[in-house]
Amino acid sequence: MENLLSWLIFIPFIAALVVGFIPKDKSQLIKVIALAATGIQLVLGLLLFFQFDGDAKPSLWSEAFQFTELVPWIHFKIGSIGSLQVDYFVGVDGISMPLVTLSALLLVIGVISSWKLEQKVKGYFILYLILSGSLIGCFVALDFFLFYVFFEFMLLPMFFLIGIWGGPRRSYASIKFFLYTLFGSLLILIVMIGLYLSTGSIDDAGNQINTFSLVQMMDGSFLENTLLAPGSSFVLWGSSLRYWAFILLLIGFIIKLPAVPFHTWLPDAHVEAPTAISVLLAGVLLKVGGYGLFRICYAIFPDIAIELAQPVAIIGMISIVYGGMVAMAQNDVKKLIAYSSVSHMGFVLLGLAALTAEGVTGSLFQMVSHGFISGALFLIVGVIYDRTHDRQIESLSGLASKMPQYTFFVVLFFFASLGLPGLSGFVGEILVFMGAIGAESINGVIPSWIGMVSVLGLIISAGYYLWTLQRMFFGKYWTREAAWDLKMVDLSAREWLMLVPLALLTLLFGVFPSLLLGPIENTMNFFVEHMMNQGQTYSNL
Amino acid sequence: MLTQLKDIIGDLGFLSFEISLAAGAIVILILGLVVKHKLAYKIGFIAVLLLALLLLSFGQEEVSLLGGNLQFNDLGVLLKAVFVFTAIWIVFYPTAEQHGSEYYFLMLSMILGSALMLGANNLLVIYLVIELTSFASYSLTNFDFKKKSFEAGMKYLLFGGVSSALALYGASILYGYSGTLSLSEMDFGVVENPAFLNLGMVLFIGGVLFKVSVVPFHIWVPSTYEATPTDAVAVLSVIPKIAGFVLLNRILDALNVYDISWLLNAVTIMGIATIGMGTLGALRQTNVKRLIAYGAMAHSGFLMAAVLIPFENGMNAFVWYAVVYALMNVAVFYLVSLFESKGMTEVEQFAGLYKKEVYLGGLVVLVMIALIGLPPTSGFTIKLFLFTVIWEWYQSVGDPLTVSYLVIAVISVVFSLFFYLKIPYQMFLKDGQNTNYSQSSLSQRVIATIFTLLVLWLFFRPEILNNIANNIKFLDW
Repeated sequence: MENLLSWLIFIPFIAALVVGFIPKDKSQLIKVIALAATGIQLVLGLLLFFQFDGDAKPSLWSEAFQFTELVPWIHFKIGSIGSLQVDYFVGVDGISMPLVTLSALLLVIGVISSWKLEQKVKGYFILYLILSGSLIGCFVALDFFLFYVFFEFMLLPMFFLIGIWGGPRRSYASIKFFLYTLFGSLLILIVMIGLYLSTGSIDDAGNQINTFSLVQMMDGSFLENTLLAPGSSFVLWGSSLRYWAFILLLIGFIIKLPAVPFHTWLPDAHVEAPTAISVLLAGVLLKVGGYGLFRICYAIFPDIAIELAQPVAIIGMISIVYGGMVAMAQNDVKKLIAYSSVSHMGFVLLGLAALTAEGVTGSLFQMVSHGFISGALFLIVGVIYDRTHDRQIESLSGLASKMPQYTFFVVLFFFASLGLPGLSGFVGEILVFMGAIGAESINGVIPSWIGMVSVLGLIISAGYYLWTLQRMFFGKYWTREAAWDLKMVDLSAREWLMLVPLALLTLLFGVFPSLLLGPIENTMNFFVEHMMNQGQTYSNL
Repeated sequence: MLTQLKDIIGDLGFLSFEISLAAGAIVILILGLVVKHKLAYKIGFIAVLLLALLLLSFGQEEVSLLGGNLQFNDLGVLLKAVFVFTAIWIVFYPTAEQHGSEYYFLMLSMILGSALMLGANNLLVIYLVIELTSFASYSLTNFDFKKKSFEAGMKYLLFGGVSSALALYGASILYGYSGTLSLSEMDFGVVENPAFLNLGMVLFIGGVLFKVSVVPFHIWVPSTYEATPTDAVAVLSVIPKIAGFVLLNRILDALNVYDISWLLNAVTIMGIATIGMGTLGALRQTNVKRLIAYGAMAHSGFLMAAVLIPFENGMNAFVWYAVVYALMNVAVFYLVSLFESKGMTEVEQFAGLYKKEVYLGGLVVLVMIALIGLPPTSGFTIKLFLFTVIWEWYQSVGDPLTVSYLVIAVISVVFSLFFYLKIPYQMFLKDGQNTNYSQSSLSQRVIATIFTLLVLWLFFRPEILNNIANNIKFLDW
């Protein structure tokens, strides 16, 4: 199918426009349109997954992308320095493809989960659809400018979705979310400009053409002795500008990821956000941070990535352990899952920092698997919250006897999240550990103790999940308020519809990880090869 | 004598824009004596501006007029068009209903002063046009006829008067050292003990910095903006400021300040301080106009960066910033005046307004994110360009001060999110009762939509403005 990626991006935008013209009392129609739009997105996303050619072996980033589309957007001469070139340039490789499909899936589930919404339906779905389009756009953009525009464009819908439809402290949470992520994205903006000034080519007439193309930046077509070119003479406060640029990007993206110490917005945002938005936030938005690290922070600055591998890995380790310990102390189930997200995203950072094939593959696998699992976990919390409007662990106990179907899913996803073999969470984590512990003997960028300490995270997560299971689901059935008793019915058909696909995928990828590992393998190998080779070349300059 | 007179008469053709403004101002003043209908003044005001714009489209070349006392270039032409665009909308503001003919007279005088400021090349002419602009501004401040306005107007007048006097003193020192009033011919030769000359430069530049509300010359801004009729603020916050920055650029160039590092550093630090002060000041504001006023001060700091950059791209970025800044200000003050006419001046009063005014609320969000500098608005484009030239500035001079400028600017953007979103935040996220609120009319929505669309349009199609900006030839001094 031609223009597959553009359809993926623009269908929700078109749907948002259509919803804008529907009178607000026709809420059913609005929901159907939103479902249809995200449904088409899912079909296209699956098409992308199955049509993606995993056998292609790239040797340059410019060969790595499939389904590419390039439309010139802003081309003009700016002043004396050269031309400004911004393109509508999209495409996917093995890094972005699984994330696009994951997003498409979770976006549909989010609409189903919002089906019972009654307040301000029109505004909600317009914002939701804008968010959907921007999310996909972020993953497929190959032009830094375009990426940045989509990246920023997610913030505003998210701000309002949390701020208007959220819980009691929604305004605090939404502002905090916005400020943190905007701060991060401005750091990215600064580097983006620096990269733009440093990347490009000189045409036959001797004119300098600067570009925002991420592909050219990754392939290293830097202009000689510009700000961020490898080996350039610019030094700021004792270190090269590339070093600072890497740090800015790292902070920018780990705010989004999030990793300790920039994670504090996440629990607040999750606790206050409506269920569907929590699902998207954990399932997809956090992945934008991870994706940015892969695509921009690491692939463009391989020399600094190797130099700073150890600190990055340690941030990952601290996130894993600290996030898990804080999760254990929570009384609110949603907050517990939010902190467990911090812990699990630490694996992404750790695997990436190792820069071995296992490590980075595990890191990407962890992102996808965490998408299913954390999405499902937030849906699970939503089930309880819909019935009781309460999320405290101590308010309920013995649910297993009252809601057996529900308990089945809870147990499944809790185990998936704590890394039980046979479920998808295990695959990602084991690959990350293999990568992180083995890196010392393969490429020597990080010492193996970091990976070993991180294994503690598994024990901690087993601790908080099992403890929660014991307190809420086992033992004698009891509710804090007698009135809740009537509402404690088992899963409805709608809830089944949301949880079953995620449960199946968690199992499927747990038992047959090669379903995902196959298509991404070549890209991942190339990524590692690129990082090591180019990193070496750059630091020798 | 006769040839001189002939030259002057010959040059008048190039001054058709300014002459039509001056003549128009007087005609409107006389009209006020004859016709009592307020619509007539509005039509007259629009007619004068359109006529001036029409005449402007003829003389497009670079000229030196009146014995070199005025020097115009394409940049001036573009900015004069921006002035007309900014000013012409004030008749549509709901707050503009009660204005008499003298209001429009003063407004035209202010535009005239600012237009001349773009080309002034003589110390005395500079002084005169600054005074012309200032006196018109002082009076415009008082047009609400409330106690608060008089207080603000008095503050403005006193600060302005003192700064003008000091600037004049500084000009006299510069004249004493160089022996000429002409800015482009100013040459101090070798000065053995430059302390007194430096004092002159500082005083003279300070006078201009006052006009563009740069820290520490900013104290008059918030209360003046708050007390002035909103339509006048929309103009006051744009036209004299842009003109002042162009003048500042010329003065810095003529006095070779780009080579005097202590003075350049001092001015740079003032620019940084302006961003910081504007941003921090805005955080605590609860009055809508004061909030926007502090925000506009932060924008001054951004404009200042573009002026300080000593190569062509700096002025390119300046043109961009100036045009979009004018657009955004027109849009935001139009919206502010719409709500003001319904009695809403404090941020809390907007609570829960989405129930009544969801469409305008959406426009407010878009304009606010443009002021913050987020995509997809041209507010983002100008921040991008400005940050780009600051990077280049660093690339060419390698001074950490330039990096500090960038850092403070970026931090300011984060903070500005917080205060600019206060109004959308109240409108959409808070609940409140607006029982007395009457909905805006269709024509008001249409005007607000036009402004907002313009702000968005330049993001998607920036080459249009850029084609104009690139065709501007900058004066070589």
